[in-house]
Amino acid sequence: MTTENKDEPRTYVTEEVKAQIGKEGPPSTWPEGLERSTLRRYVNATEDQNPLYRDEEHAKNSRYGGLIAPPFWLASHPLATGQRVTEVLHMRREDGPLPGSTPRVQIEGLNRGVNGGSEIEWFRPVYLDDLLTYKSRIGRFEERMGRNGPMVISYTETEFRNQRGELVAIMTGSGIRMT
Amino acid sequence: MTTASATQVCFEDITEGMEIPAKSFGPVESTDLVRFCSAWETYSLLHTYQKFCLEQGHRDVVINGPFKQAVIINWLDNWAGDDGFLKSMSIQHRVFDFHDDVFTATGVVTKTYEVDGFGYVNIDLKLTNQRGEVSCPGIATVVLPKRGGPPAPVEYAPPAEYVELLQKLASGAERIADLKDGQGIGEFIPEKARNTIGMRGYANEWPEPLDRATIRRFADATFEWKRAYRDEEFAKSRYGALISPPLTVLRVPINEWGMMGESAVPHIELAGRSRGGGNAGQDAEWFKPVKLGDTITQVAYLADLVERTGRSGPMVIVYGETVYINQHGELVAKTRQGTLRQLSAE
Repeated sequence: MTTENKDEPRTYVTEEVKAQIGKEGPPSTWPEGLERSTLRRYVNATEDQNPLYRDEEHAKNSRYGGLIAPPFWLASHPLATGQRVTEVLHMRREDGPLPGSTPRVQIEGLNRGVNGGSEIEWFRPVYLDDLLTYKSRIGRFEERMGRNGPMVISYTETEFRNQRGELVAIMTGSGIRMT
Repeated sequence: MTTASATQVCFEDITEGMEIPAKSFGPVESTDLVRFCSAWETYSLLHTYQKFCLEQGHRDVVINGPFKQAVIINWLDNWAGDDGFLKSMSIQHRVFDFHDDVFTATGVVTKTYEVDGFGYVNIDLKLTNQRGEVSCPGIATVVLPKRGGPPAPVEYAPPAEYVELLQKLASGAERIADLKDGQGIGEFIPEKARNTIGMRGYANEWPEPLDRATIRRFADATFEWKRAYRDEEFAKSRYGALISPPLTVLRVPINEWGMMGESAVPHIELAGRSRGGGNAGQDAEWFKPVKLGDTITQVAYLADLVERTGRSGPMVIVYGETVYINQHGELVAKTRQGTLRQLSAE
C-alpha cells in the first residue's frame, strides 16, 4: 500500500519496470509473401508514383531486377487475419493474448499510451514474393516531465528478416505512457 | 473425390417448406465496413465518411449493397458446406442500412429437385435488420450432394443463351441485343439513351491475377471460414488450387491506380434533374470458382431501362448484364444488376 503524496516526485521506472528490458515477443510471420495486389494497394494508398514499385518492366531493368516494396511497407503487418478486427482490438483492451508479437509494456500508474514515433534503419529491400518475419523486444525506458505531467517513453526494437534469414530492417518504436 | 462427410448437409435432409438455420451478423462496426471497402476496393464517401452521409440526410454511414450480399452469401455458402455449391442468388436492395445495424438472414426451401444425380434446392431468402425492415428479399439455388455420394460439382456448363451472349461480347460487336418494341419508353428516357439499350460497354480486366493476399482480404472481409478459401492443402485436393469466395468475382472494376474503372455498363444521359440513386440489386450465377492465379475480365452491355414511379417520385432503373470470363475464355459468372436513378422534372 503506497502512502506517498500524489504530488511528490516519484519514479515510474521501478526495478520491476526495468526488469522488462530485453523481454521478447514471439516471432510473427506475414500471412503470405509480398504479392502484386498488396504492393498495388500500398502504393495507391500512399500515392507513391515511383515506377520501381509499379512498373514491372522498369523494375526488371533497374539494379533491383524486379519489383520491390516501398521502404515503409514493412511496418504494415496485417492485424486480425481471420478475425473480426473489433474482437482483436477488444483483446488488446482486455489485456488478453496479443495477435501481433509486440511485448506489452507494464508501467504501474501510467495507463494511457500514444505512439511517439519510430526510427527505422534499412539493410536491404523487400522483393516481390519475399516473406517477412518480425520479432520485437523491449529496449529501454526514459522518464520525463511533460506539459501534462510525468511520462515514460518506452522503446521497442523490432527486427525484420526475410525468408532467407537476412536482416531487412530494424525499427525502434517509441510509446509514450502518461497518467 | 471424397464422399460427403457426416456433418455435411445432404439432399436427403431437405424438405420443401423447411427453414434454413438463420444466421445473425452485427452490429456492423466501422472496422467491418473499412475492411470490406478495402477488399472490394470501393472508396465511395457514402460507405466511409460519416459527415458526408449526415449531410446527405442519412442517420449514419450507409452499408454497401455488396456488404449485404456478402452476409447472405456467407450464410448460404457455409450452410452448403465443403461439398455443396452456391449456384445462383438474386437479391434486391430495399432499404438503407447503417453503421451499428444487426442483420439476420433467414430462408425457406421452396423447391427440391434432382439434376444429374445431385440435389438442387431453391430458397426464398430475406436479410432483415434489427428494425424489422427487410433489407434484401431474394432467391437462391444451392446444389447439395446425396448422402454417400460424391460432392456437388464445382464446374457447370453455362446455358446456351449465356454461351451466345459470351460469344457476342467477346466478338467485339457493338450491338449485343436487339431493341424491342415498347422497351425503354419513358418521360425521362431520351431517344439516345433508349437506342443505347442492347449496346456493349467496356471490358475491364483485373489489375493482377488473383493472389493469396486478395483471397485472404476477401475471406477476412466477408467472414469466411470455409477450408476452400483458407486451407491450401484442402483446396488443392478439391479444386486444384486455393479458391476465392463467390463474391470476389463480382467486384467492381478497378484500374491499376486502385480507382474505380469505367463502369462496364455504357453510360447514358437521362432527362430531368438527378435526385440521387442507388444499388437496386443483383442476380448472380456462378459456373466455376475463381482460382489462385486466375485473371478475370468483365464485359457488359446495357440490358434495359425501366421507368417507374416509386415512393419518392419518378426513377429509371438501369439494368446491365455482365459476363465474367477467366484467362482461358471460360464463363465464370454472369450477373444482371440494377442501378436506380431518381429524377425530377426540374
